[in-house]
Amino acid sequence: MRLKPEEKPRQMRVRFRTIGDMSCTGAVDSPASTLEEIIDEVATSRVTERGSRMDDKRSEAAMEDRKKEGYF
Amino acid sequence: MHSYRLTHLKELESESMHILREVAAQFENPALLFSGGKDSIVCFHLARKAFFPSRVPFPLVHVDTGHNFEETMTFRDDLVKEHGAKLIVGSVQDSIDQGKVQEETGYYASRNKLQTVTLLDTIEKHKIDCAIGGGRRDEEKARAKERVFSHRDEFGQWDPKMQRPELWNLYNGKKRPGEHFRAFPISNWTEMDVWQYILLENIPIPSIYFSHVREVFDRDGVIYANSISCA
Repeated sequence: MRLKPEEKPRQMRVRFRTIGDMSCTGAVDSPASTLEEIIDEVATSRVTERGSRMDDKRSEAAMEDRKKEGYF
Repeated sequence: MHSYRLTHLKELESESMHILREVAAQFENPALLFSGGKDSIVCFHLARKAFFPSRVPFPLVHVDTGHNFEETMTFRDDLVKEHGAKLIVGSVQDSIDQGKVQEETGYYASRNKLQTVTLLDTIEKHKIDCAIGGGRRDEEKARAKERVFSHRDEFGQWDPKMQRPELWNLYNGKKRPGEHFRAFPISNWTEMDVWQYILLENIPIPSIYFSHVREVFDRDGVIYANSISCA
């Protein structure tokens, strides 16, 4: 992805909750490094899994529109 | 007398294995859509259990945007090698080179939407009559109204209003030539079920699901991986 001039890359401890390709998947700020810790995190999270997916945020019906065309 | 009760995970597992066996029985040339993510990994694990001691009777299909995480690709190749699975790769770059789709431009350019054309071409080329996917109903509202056996017309299009009734555990895979189906064996699982099942069955997953230090940048409240290969 191309960075905007004001966007500065930084090092951060993250993990991925959902994996798409790099242009549509966001990471979550998380220290969870075992399955047990991930389960605890998912149980208490207030955001759903696809909350970090840009492909769904393009419009209200982004997923339905893609599915109608034949998407996954 | 003792009661015979399955845990919720074993119940889900059993339902999914039934669906996978129904796909194998009803279709001539099914394939498992495999992204290298946890849901498709769980689907593959379920398929291995459903057909054991035989090998999984269908190939894996990966639609490669060319912008994948390296860890996911390594994981995919290792899994294919370990289990002797057949892998079909559909390349979005090829679709772009053939002029079938146009690369998006600008800061928000993504190949996510372009995948559809590559996926449908791959389905047609390999004459796949049922593509099994790891979609779950709790993920997103369009997926929530999806059937387990989902009908697609000859253009690969989904019409939510043209789906078949799905009573109990009866799945209707009848279709006309040129049409195909999508099957979603883990429709009724939640994100939590998937994680608990991965723990229960000790299923390997790509390392990027676990916490690690990475170069990232923020945009619109989303933390993106910064990658030179994606520039």
